[in-house]
Formats: sequence, C-alpha cells, structure tokens
Amino acid sequence: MRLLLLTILVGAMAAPAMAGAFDSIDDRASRVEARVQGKHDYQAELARDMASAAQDELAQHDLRAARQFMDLAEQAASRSGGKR
Amino acid sequence: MKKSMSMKTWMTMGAALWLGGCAAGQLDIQRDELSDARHAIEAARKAGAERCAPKEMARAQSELYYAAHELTENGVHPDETAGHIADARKYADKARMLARKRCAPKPKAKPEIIRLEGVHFRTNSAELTPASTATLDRAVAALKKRPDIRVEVAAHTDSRGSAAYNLKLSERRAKSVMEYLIAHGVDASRLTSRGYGESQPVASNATPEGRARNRRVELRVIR
Repeated sequence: MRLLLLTILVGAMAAPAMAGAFDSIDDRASRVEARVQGKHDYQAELARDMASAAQDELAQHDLRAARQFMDLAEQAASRSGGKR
Repeated sequence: MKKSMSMKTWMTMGAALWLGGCAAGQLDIQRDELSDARHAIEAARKAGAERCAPKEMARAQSELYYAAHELTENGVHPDETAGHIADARKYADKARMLARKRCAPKPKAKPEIIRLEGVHFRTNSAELTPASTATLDRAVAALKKRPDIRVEVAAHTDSRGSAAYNLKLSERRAKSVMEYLIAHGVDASRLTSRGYGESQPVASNATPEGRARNRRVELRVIR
C-alpha cells in the first residue's frame, strides 16, 4: 500500500519535469517552427525567438536554460493559434 | 522486510526529488534590474505594438527573457546582461514608435466630387432646362469611361424659401438628374440621389452670384 502511494507521489512530482524530457531541444524547436510556420503575429515571432534562444543555450551546454527558453517558445507557439 | 521497504521508500523519494529538480522553472522577469525594460515593453504594448509591430515587440520581449536568464548567473556576464537590457529597451521603443505610426487611424480620403457646371432647372421646379443636356451628356460619357465607380447625385439649393421646401426641391432635382443619366445608359445600380437643400453652401447667399453658385448639382464618387 505504501509503495503504491509512493509511486503515485513520484508520478505527481515528476510529471512536470517529464513533459518533453525525452524529446531533444532540437526536436522541440522543429515542432515549434512547424507550428508557427507562415504566421507573423507577435506570439509566433516570440516563439521563433525563444526557440532560437533555446538552441543557442544548448550549444553552450546550458541545458536548464535551453529548457526554460523552449518552454517559453512552446507557450508562445500555442498562444499563436498554430496547429500542432 | 521492514528495512527493505524503508530503503525503497528513500530511493523512491530521492528519485522523485531528482526528477522534480529537472523541471526547467521560470525566468523571473519581475526583477528590479529589469524594471526599465519592462516598463518600455509595457508602453509599447499599450501603443498596440503586439498587433502593429509584432516582430520588434517579440524581439524586445526575447531580450527581456535573455536578460532575466543572465541575471540568474549571478553577475558572470555583466556586459551581456546590460546588453540584453539595453536591447530590450531599444526594441520596445522601436516597436512603440512603429505602433504609433502603423496603428494610427488613416485619415479619410476626401471624396471625389464632380461638379456639373451648367446644369439648371426651371425656377422652383425639378425640370431640367434644355441647355443642361450638354453637361449631362458629358457626365454620361465620363461615367461610362469609369465603370468601376458608383456615384451619388447630390443637389443643392440657395437659401431663399424655407429649409424644408429647399430640401424637398433638391431631392426632386437630384432624382431628375439621376433619371436622365439612367435614361442615357448609365446602370441604375451605380447611382443614388440625395438632396441637401440649403445645408451645404459653397458661397454667400447674400449676393445673386453667391446664390447662383450654391444652386448646384454634383456627382459624389463612391468607390
């Protein structure tokens, strides 16, 4: 029983971290680019800038910053109304 | 068994904390060091920059995030941090100026008015004088050359007589001119008529010359 509860706890705590954790920054950047392709509204432009920033940080081996920027890129892309 | 369970518990909790630590977290753009850039971006946003200057506005916001990121590195790259803050302000100011220019309502273009010089009516009547036909025939030819435009036939009077009478008279005169144009081949769907009475004088009604100028018919182009 305790093990079951702990497993659920692990799942709950780890869920935010696991989102996209198994996708590379480059894959996520490609998806963002595809989602905002042909769009030039503010959110689409921001998504592109943030995805580019994420890739820059990745090139400098700062994975944490790359993830932060990529999260912002994905949020902006979803607000731009682009398709997945 | 109990000891084994305890070990599992600790291992599981450790794994949970480790995975939780993998979450990227959020960049803090509310830091005091970023207040100037933040205010510049807010001013641009209020000016409509997200809609009218999206590229510059996005760049300003990106630079703000960059600066917030640099600030998390505790002064390792002070020049880069300052550069991003300056760029955030620069692009926000640019976005604001572009928004003011692009979002401003466009001034209404002056309507094109074609005055029909030489169109006259009998006194207190909507009946065209024979001499008017030459002018109206030229108007017909002009309208046939420009099939893409629609026009309002607008008639005006001077101020003699009551305003109500003059309004009715001008309406009848405008209609009379419109019917002439239709009768001579201008498509009725391109024409409307309206009488303005004495409400829009172009000269003084105190002199005969002024009154003559005020009695007029115009074609107002509607695209």
